[in-house]
Amino acid sequence: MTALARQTLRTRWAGFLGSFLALALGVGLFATAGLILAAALRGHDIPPRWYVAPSVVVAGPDRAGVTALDPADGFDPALPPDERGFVPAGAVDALAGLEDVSAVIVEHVSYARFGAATEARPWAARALRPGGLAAGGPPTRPEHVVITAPTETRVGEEVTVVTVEGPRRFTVSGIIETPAEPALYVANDLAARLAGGRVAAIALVPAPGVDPTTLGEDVRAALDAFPMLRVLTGDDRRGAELDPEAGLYVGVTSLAGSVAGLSGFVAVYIVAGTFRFTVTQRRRELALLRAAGATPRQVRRLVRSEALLVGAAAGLVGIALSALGAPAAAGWLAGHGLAPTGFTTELVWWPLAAAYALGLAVAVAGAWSPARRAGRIRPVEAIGEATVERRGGARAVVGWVLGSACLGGTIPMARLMSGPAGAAYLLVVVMLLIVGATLLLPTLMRPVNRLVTTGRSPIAMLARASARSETRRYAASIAPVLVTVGLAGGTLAGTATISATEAAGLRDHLTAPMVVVPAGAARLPSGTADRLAGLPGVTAAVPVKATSVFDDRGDMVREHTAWFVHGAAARHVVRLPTISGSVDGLSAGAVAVSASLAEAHGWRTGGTATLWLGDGAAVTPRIAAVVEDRLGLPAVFLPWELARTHSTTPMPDAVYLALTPQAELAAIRAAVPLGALVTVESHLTTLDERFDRLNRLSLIALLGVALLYTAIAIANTQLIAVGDLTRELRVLCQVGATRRQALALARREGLTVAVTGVSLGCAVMIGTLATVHIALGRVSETVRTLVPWPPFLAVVACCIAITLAAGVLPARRALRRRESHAAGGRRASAS
Amino acid sequence: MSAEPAVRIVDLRKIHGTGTVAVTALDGITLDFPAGTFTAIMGPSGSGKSTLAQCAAGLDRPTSGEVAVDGVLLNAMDETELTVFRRKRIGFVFQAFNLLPSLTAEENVTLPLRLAGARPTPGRARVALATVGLGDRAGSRPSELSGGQQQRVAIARALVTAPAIVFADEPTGALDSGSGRDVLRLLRSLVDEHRHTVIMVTHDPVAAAQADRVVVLSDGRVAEERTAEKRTAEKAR
Ligand SMILES: Nc1ncnc2c1ncn2[C@@H]1O[C@H](COP(=O)(O)OP(=O)(O)OP(=O)(O)O)[C@@H](O)[C@H]1O
Ligand SMILES: [Mg+2]
Repeated sequence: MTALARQTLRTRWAGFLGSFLALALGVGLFATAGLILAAALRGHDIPPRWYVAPSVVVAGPDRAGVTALDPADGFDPALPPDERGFVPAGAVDALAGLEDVSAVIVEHVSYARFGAATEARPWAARALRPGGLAAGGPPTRPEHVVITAPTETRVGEEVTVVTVEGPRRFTVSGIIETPAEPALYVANDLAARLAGGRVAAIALVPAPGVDPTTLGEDVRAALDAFPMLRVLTGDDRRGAELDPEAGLYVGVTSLAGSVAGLSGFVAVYIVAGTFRFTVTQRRRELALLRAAGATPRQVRRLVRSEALLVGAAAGLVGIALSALGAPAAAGWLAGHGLAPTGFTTELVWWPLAAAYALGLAVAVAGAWSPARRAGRIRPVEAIGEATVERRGGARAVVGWVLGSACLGGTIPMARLMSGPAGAAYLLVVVMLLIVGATLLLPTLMRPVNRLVTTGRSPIAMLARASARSETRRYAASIAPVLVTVGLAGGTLAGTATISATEAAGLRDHLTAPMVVVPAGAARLPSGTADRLAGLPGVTAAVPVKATSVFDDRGDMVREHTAWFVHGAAARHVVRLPTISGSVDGLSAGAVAVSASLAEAHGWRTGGTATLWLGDGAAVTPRIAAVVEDRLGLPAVFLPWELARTHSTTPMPDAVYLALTPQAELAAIRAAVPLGALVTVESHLTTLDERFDRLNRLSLIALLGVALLYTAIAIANTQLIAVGDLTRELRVLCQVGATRRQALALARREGLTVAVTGVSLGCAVMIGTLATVHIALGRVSETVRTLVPWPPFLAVVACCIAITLAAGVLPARRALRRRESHAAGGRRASAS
Repeated sequence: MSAEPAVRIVDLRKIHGTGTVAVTALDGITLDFPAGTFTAIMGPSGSGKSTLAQCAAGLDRPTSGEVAVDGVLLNAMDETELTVFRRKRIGFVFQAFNLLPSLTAEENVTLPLRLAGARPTPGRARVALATVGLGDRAGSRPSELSGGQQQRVAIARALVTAPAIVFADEPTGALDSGSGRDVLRLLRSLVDEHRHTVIMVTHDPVAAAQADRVVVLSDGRVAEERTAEKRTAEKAR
């Protein structure tokens, strides 16, 4: 059978081109996403930038959910990218008596911004980095700072550095040249004070001749009492460094994951449809095989071997495509700020192997049910001209049941969507709706078809008849239009509605008229709110900083959004829908939690919560209040006091102000030289715009390629279908239809396909919006429905144009060829 | 002692479609086709000739009634058993659309052997093609052959497994009188020289004259059955 399959493929390659193309593009897309994913994951594998000289580094936890009894494992979620775990002071003492150590360097790291540097580090830590003083000397006094070359600044110059405490004057005492990252080196005591005494890491330099790995084992043993600490040697020490680009890597990883998932779905969808269609088209040929003595099994094997051969070849082409596509995609991501600058991919074998295997699996799975159908073809079907397939009652029922199950599957999804990771489920909802609509297509398309083909002209009559009898051809052509429009509409409208509702939720709850936000790149000093609160006319000045907390429900540790907020004053700037308790009680040792979180754990006001903060520290605060779940508001409110001890940069994102009419804006502005005083409304608008831009870019990255793929699939299936259509048109011309009439029929068929596909795609979009409405209705007061019409309509227009062009142009050419044949006479055909 | 007919059909009924569109193609036909005879089936268009041939050859399933080939009941077999049985015993030539377009004439001819798992020698196909006068067109694809040539390739294919029973549905319909005669002579020789059984559907009285017996169908029933005396007489001589 394989030999026969190879032969059929060789001679009928045109017929298999469609399946081949669909598979190659699917594999290419999946492999590209895989290569990006590999590059994003590998991003962390580069050597340490700070701990260059040999050393053993003791660092705090890098995962949440770690306790003394339960050491970190791979399932615990990573800390937020801009937060680090700290080393308790006791660890320094525990390491004091260790032998074979030439130096113990305690790294106090704090926010400090000058030039390219963003961190202040103790001068002692310079020993861990190669390079030396190019000019001047070490910082011997608190007002001294050593900066890194290249710089315009000279030794002895006075500079202003933005520190946690605010702008501070320093004198440059020296300049060092080092391949390590730029940093500001200050006197050891000052570094400790700026860091609030918190230790970011301890580096132990081994005595000459001592192997760091051996020393590492001694250190581990000495830190027996601190199981949550990490002892790192070699390149692992990079794990002790906060990577400014870690957030982008996380973003790229999740984006590439979504793209891989979506492209996998689209590939399976399109390829399965194409295989099904090709089998339908070859019905008579397969029946002939049966008549010539092929058993049903042999016919099934034939179809499957063909699929395997197509899959094997298309996979190679797909991999070659990804080798070209991945660097281009990486460049695009980096260019648009979705990935770190200089983000590149390398040809790694495993994503390619995975994509190739997926291609084969998709081919085999896609051909599975068509093959079964092929096996059921009866030999007598070879004889009749009619290749119309009667749809068996049982099959129709199965389609109905599965289709309804898919549509019904969105109901539990609505529940999940109102949870914290809601947006992630949006794609699943859209996919379920698309699959459901496709399974119900034979039923759903009938009324639309009838509507599009009304009329008394002979063309309308013919179009009506062919839409009725050629259900499979129509369904096959409609499916890619449906998936394109449904995917675009569902995802665009769903995301837009979710983010608009989220933005509206935040707006609804913020009552403050004005807010102070960073004016430039430098952050607001930690004391900004206190300074503002003292000004005349300022009723309340509430610092807010977004962070993450983690909870453990026994099965797994989950991340939740949280705000550090000044509790007592919060009610002046934000309206919180408290169910019990009061946020006024939000002070050191107390938190407010959302109702869903409280419900999941059985927490009550007055009880205790168990949480991990952004630095991985486990805390058991009292519950001061339970607040209703609201989109735009975080799941947990943390007192500002905790930020000082648990946040890497305890500096507010914004300070919200409640003002009396006596407030003097000029005085407020003067009090915060690094801040900008703006209305809350304009601040939120800026936030929305920034968010929308990122959102739009990720959507383009996510949808763009998938849509390109489905658009090609539309043309592809139209081109396969047009073979049948042309045969029909030729017969029509033989019985006296003019060329114009035949083309009108082709156009009408194309239009019917496009309109039906677009209508059902719109139905998918409406279904998605309905699900989003149900989901958001639980967590917001009003749901803002938003359909981004321009991009959606552009997609719809493209679909219609492609369907018509791919359906009509080949028919036109075929008819013209027929005419020239007739005119050219026998001679042309004889040669 | 030809007690066992090659094909026996008993009270065969075939209804196409269901409900209001149901068409009764065969309405209770009982016939024996003795081994080593040549039977022609005639009758007006739509009278059920093709349906009868297909049901008797095991290509289609009757609605009710029995079909036995060489004493083996076909009704009880599943698709695979039926196919394997058919492959060994029965050759079939359709009215039209006989060949796989992607295969050459030779490959089309050897297809049943290959499907049966045999590795056909090129010689076997050439011999079969030469028998139908197409020895030189082995490498041609169906699209490069005329309608009559395609029909002859189909006959070669039906004969290549040396089946004991050959069904032919208007095998000469698309042929000129010369090649039609060749095909008929070929079928005749199967009966005379190899004692195969041939059942041929035809509209052509000249073709029917080659048969030992003529069965005339009308509206799905046997309207008339006659033995061609001339043939029998010729044979007796
Ligand atoms: N697949 C089918 N579905 C419905 N009716 C059918 C089908 N096949 C045949 N028929 C009907 O069954 C009857 C017998 O058809 P059949 O093909 O056996 O006729 P025939 O005698 O071979 O005619 P012809 O000489 O024109 O080939 C006809 O009325 C035909 O319309
Ligand atoms: Mg017939």
